[in-house]
Amino acid sequence: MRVLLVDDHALFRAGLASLLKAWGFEVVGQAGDGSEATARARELRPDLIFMDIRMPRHNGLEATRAIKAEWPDIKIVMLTVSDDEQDLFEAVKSGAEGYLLKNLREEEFADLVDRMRRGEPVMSPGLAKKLLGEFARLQEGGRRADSESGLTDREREVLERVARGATNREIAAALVISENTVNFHMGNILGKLHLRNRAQVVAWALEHGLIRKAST
Amino acid sequence: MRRKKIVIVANGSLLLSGIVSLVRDAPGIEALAVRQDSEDLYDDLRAAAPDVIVVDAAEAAGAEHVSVARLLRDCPRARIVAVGVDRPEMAVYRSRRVKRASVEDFLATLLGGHRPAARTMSDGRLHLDG
Repeated sequence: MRVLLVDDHALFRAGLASLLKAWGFEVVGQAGDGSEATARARELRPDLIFMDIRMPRHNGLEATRAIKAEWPDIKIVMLTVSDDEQDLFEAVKSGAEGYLLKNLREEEFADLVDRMRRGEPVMSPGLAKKLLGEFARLQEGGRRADSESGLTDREREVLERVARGATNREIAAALVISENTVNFHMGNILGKLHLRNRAQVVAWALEHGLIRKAST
Repeated sequence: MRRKKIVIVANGSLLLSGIVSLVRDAPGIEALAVRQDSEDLYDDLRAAAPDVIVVDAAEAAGAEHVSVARLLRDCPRARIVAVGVDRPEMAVYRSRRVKRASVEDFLATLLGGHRPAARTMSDGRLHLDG
């Protein structure tokens, strides 16, 4: 299996390369930041990339999205110190096939690497539970929003577009209705949800899982 | 030319395991690994008389098992290199012993090399000349 290592921690990267070579992997290249990662992926077309997250010049999440957009068959496994839930969720949404923490023991890592070779997705212990918890929360938020709001389907369509930043004109064009009709629906939405303005609509939509906060 | 003797205090972490793998066959280096949880850790290190000791910075920063201060005392000729996964830098510690340190030697160390002439006054306080 041809592997590309991406990490700004040069010593960690070199040690990992040495271990992987000893375990029979072909380490075809290394990169120290997200931009270099994309360039090396284009040049080398590895089978697998171990990708750190916090790096200069485009972090690992940005690089993952860019690489997956062009070469979806390249497997990417995040290998990071970050156990931040948002990083985990963004990595999964970006298409990563795994998420491993650098504080793994060598034997644990070797076992997970074996599973990867067999095509299984891999995750450090404890992270799968966080992912399932977030999925359940989103599902619950969606169900609660549906049952509590009393919004019609059309009002929900308008609300989701407002929450994503669309103007009334843009909403009208997208739904093929007049701006006056959009205003009418907005009035109903604000009334039913007991909100005062668009900003509160966005906050409500975030809280109920209708939209996700953008990562920084 | 004598090979440098490097001892890696292994704790099973991916970082230190990688370092062991990396330096094992490196030219000019005689690499050994000792287990961090060994009861005889400090005795083994003293006996090995290494040139360099590599430790995990997370463990070195106040953990029970690896005391940088004790390593510096027990292996005064060694450099201690602490590495960690959370940052790409490494910390290097060295012991320097000054036998029969004078007051001037002590002040020079505090002041970073400048060696002032010092006198002890009759009331016991230090007076620095210049």
